[in-house]
Amino acid sequence: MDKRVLILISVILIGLILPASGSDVQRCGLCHSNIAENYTKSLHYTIMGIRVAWDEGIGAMTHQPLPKICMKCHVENCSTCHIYHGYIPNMTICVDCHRHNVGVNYMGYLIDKMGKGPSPDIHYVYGLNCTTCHKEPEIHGDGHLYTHSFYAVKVRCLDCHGTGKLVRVGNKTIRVKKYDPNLLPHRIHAKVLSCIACHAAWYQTCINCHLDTGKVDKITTKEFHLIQGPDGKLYPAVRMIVTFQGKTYTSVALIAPHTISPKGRPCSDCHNPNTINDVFLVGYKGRLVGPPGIKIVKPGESLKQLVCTADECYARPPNKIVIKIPVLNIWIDTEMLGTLIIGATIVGIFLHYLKRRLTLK
Amino acid sequence: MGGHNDEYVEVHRQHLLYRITHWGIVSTGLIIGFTGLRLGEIWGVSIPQNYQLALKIHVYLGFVFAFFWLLMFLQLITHEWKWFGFHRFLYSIKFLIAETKAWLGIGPHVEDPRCYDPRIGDYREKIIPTEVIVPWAYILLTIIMGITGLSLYYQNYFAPIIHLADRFAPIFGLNSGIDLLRAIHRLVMFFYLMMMLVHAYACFVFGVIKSMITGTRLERVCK
Repeated sequence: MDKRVLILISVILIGLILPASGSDVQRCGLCHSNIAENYTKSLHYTIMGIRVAWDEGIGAMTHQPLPKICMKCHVENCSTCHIYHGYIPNMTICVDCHRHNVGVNYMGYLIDKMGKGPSPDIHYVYGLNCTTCHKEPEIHGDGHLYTHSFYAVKVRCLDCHGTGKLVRVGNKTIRVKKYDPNLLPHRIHAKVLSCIACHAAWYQTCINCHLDTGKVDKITTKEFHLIQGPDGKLYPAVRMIVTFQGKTYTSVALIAPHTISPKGRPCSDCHNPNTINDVFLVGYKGRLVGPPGIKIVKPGESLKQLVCTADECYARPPNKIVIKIPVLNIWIDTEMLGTLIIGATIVGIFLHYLKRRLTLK
Repeated sequence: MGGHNDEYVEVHRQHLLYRITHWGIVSTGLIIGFTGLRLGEIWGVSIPQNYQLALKIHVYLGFVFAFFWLLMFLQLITHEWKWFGFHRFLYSIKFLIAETKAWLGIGPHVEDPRCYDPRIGDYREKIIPTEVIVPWAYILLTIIMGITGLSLYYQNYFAPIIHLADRFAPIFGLNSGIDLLRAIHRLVMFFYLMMMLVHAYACFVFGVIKSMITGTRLERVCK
């Protein structure tokens, strides 16, 4: 064979093998240096979120290394999402990896689209895709090494709903519904509940995920638990139940379900003496998975007593309303004052009637 | 009230729509009032036991109640303005003071001014003057009850009112505008009930209950 042909074949082979043999981050970083540098520290690249969750939860209990299947989440190459130069990934690309929970749940499906969930996320209904909320620094990283998405994800509901701003979705503009701090559930719960604790309509719980085979016995969307996050607010929590070599292991993880509904959960989901212990995982002593500081909290007594539906609670008046006039140092119980007014009226009518009878005689 | 030598004549006093409107207000008002007592758990009222049912009845019947009041208002301004117009407020108040003085024995006896003039085919005075204030006081209280009640139930739509109430709540030692609106709603309800009691008793004393049922009444002929 001609020596020149051999050299040409070698060059072509090397050209084909080299890009496929390792990450293309360095190559892309020649121009996009900042992004590339940050990206190598992002959760998409390090998959520290999954690693830490595994090590804290199931991994610690089963003494097994992170399964290879989880390593698929490691997005090593820019070209995994940016198929060609200048390509902006759409939602399909995101959901292709996030197909076990948030991605498919967002669209109203269960894991791997194997069934329909109760409802899609309201943002999906309005046409918002992943990158409408999750901007570039969250996806490519911001230069910090995070171990939990709780800290890596910066977007907050109030970023849009706090101002009721206009959001561009495709070729239409939507005015975001403004958060109303006066709404009774917001008044009562804003300091103790995260938005998603109430507005995540559902999430999936896999019962007995077999680590050996990858199969799941059952999926339910009925479970609902709350645990306290590092900021002191309550967040949704999922029970992760896995089976390995005939044994069942359970851990509980703080999650951010992407199944948002404009109407919050009914009050009775928490304010229910029959289910409150289950919601707050009373008696659970197992492992907690999530950012440092998460913990199980005891439900307050009021949750055990009050049973109501949403509409009731919205309008439910307290038994006593006491008006205080500090200037005059007067306290008025409205019911007592009202009773006095009605009592005086009845006495007045009776006296009038009596005098009338006597006068007429 | 009338003298022994007075003549009386049967007069058509209230037309059918007016009577229907009146009893519509009475019946819906009583149910709303009762369910309101249940919602506020006032005086131990606990019927209906189903809180949700009581709330639905209270709110939705409230719209019917408001509709009847709107009808009443329209009839007042179109047919009864001569007797219930604002121009008679001062006269009404003076009459009330005179009546009170007479009742307490510190003023002269006050004659019932109501009489019908057959020659002109109309009343010279159709109502006890104190009555002028009654429908307007009711309407005012109904508006207050309506606004506060709707603000409590439809908090999203009435947010501006809640914001406004928020500003005044601390003056009354209350935590929020919602509490203030509740306090107003509750207190005005007691005034409403007071007016209803006095109104019912006055109707009995002045003998006008029958005319609100049959539409006719034996009226004193003017001299």
